[in-house]
Amino acid sequence: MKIFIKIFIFFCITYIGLFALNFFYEKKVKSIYIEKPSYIISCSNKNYDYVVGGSSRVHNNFNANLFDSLTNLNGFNIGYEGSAMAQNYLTLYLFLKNGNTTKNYLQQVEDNFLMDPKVAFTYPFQDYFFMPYIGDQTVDDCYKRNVPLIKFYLWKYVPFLKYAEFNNYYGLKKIVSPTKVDSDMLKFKGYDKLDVKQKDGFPAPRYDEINNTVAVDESNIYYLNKIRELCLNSHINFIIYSSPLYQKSYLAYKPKNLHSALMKFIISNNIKYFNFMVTPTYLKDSLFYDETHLNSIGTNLFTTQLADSLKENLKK
Amino acid sequence: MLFNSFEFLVFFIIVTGLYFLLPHKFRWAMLLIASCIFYMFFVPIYILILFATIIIDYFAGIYIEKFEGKKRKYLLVVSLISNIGILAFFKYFNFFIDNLNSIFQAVNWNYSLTLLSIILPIGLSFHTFQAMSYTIEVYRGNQKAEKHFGIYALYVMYYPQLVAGPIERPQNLLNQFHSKHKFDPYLFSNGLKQMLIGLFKKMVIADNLAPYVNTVYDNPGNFEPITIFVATVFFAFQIYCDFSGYSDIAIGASRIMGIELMQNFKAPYRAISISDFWSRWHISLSTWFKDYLYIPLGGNRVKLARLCFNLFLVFMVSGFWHGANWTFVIWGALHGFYTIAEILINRYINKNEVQNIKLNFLITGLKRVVVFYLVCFAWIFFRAESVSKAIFIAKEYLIAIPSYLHHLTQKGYLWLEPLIFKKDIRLNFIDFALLGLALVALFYINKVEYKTKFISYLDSKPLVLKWGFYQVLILLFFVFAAFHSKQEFIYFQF
Repeated sequence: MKIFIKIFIFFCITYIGLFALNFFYEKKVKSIYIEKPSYIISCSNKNYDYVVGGSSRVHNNFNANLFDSLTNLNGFNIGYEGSAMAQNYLTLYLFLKNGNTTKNYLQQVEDNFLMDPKVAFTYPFQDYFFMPYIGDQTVDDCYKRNVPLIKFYLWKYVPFLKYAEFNNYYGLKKIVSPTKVDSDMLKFKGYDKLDVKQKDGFPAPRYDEINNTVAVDESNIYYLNKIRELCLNSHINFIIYSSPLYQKSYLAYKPKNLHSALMKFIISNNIKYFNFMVTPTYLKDSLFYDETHLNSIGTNLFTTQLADSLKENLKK
Repeated sequence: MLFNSFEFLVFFIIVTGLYFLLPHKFRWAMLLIASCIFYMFFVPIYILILFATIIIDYFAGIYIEKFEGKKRKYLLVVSLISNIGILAFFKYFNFFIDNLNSIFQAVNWNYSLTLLSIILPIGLSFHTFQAMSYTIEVYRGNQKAEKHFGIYALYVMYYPQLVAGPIERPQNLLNQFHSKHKFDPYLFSNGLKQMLIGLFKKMVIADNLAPYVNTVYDNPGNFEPITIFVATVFFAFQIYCDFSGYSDIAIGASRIMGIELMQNFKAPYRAISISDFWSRWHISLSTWFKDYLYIPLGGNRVKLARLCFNLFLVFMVSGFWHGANWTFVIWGALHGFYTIAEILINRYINKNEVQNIKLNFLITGLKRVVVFYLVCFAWIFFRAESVSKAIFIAKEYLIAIPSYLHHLTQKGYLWLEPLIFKKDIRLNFIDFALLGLALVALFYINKVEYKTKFISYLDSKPLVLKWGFYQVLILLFFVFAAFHSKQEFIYFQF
């Protein structure tokens, strides 16, 4: 019996130790800069005319400074690499929750954004970005839908486990001596320019083997609708746009049912939509960095076209 | 299923829980099923190979015991051939064909044999050797043949040591499956401690050293000799922490159930000679080779030339056991060469026992450094992907220290500069310092392990010290363990 009590006390001390570590990390992590997503979801009291959210096709293909100069507005590019719809929702939710405001929210959605995230993204739900916010009901709901339940409950109830598992992201070094906010990221308002020089191996159509019909993942529509509701409740003008795709790949791919699912959602909710996916301007290889991203020349061209199209539709 | 995975954590809790909940007579069946599940996490179909050898060896054991005279020998040969045959086919067939093709090419014979697309069954070398030790021991009369098929199958498949040892002997393991084990809180806590130390070695030290080693060994031409030297030293610790970490987890997991596995490592880098190193490194394999190859060849009781030949042969076979690549053969040969040189030096140089204690201390320290330097040199061939790459690295390793000292005095660069500020090495001073601290801690543990078992040593200390150590270890584990890398254990490939 005595040894059982000793083991129990030992585990209690371990729990307290981990709890203290978790407390220390939690406080620090929310206030330091790790990467762009951590900045977006932790910054506070910023007031913008617009923010634009989405994946790398926003992060690398939306020149916020150029857009500002063309529209006389002040905005920020909050898109980041590999983010699927659930992440876009959580990012906007936390961004607004921290006291930031925006009059307009632009969401990038292409047809293939509606596919099963496990197929369309290398890391379907980048759970580690939102670890410090576990405990918030909205964040928890999102985790429960996107990660195995057992993992979620372990992260929630075993102190520090969530930071331990992702200590490559939440490394002690970053916590103890945090880096300054990336000045380029601030200077370019979240836009990360891609080289004019194309990626090795471009062009290489990747979608040939995929059938013409691809199942729509309902969770994407679910989170797109959550974004719409969030904007509605926050009195934000919600706009969806589709950025240009490398058409030799896209046309071979022809995921017609995906596009009709997107259109069905847009029409039924009466959302303003601007489609640049198959615009003839973007037939030139020289505008692309790879199959899914414009290079800096293509980005500037697209940002200008988008600004022209949106001018009359943005809330001032 | 990797020991350092979430799946294993769940598996371990369920299996251990069931083990103590079930009556003794059902435990073997539960452990056997659990071991099958554990094995089938890798390539499920390969379990049939394991079953085939289990059936052959099970009947071979029974009939070896039953028969007398030459029949026993024939049965032993059948058992050994079937075990070695399977090992040879899966592990060495393509290596053999590849070399044959190279010979054909060298003599301009335009003929090429086709390589088979087969994957090496995980842990094949380990469980084959364990199965062989059973039939040999039955043949020698040291072990009674196991009549219970399930328990014999469990002896070969026992999950903690199925894929990377320790390679057990039937005298130790088989009998333990028959004994009834009650839940013992002391063994429970002791086993958990051993597992924690093993996980720390693997996930904190080995997995954090791996990126540095991999970066340098992938493109050694990009780095200065001293960087290659440090990467080699790091690899020495990586492989030690990786493999001994695995053994610790296996021993700990088994100890919780009351089944004691043999010690596999005993502070090998504190060895003062190569033969001392081999009595401390992968003990279950080195004693296997000693018992079943070295002694049958004549052991120490032969003439010097024969002794040297025997030793060289044993080390070559040991190298070949590790992998079907000339790099492993060279690694084995190097150790054979070291051992022979050591014997010759000990025989022909007049041993003057140093009486001065301080001098003795220095000499022991010097011996340790020399042995470690030589062992690291051999590790180059173990780690490098090809012989040509190994030779390049070996040359750089040998000139590393003089070249580094020369650069320090001539060029005056910062002492850490070539180690951490090089292209692709993403370590800064803090990382380096932390790795250094981990290695210092390891040195301390090894210093204790040189004389006694570390956990027993710590158990004799005051509670505050003992608990403090484990609490700090747990916290450090959570902060620094490379959960994200999910690196396999190096010895899984064998």
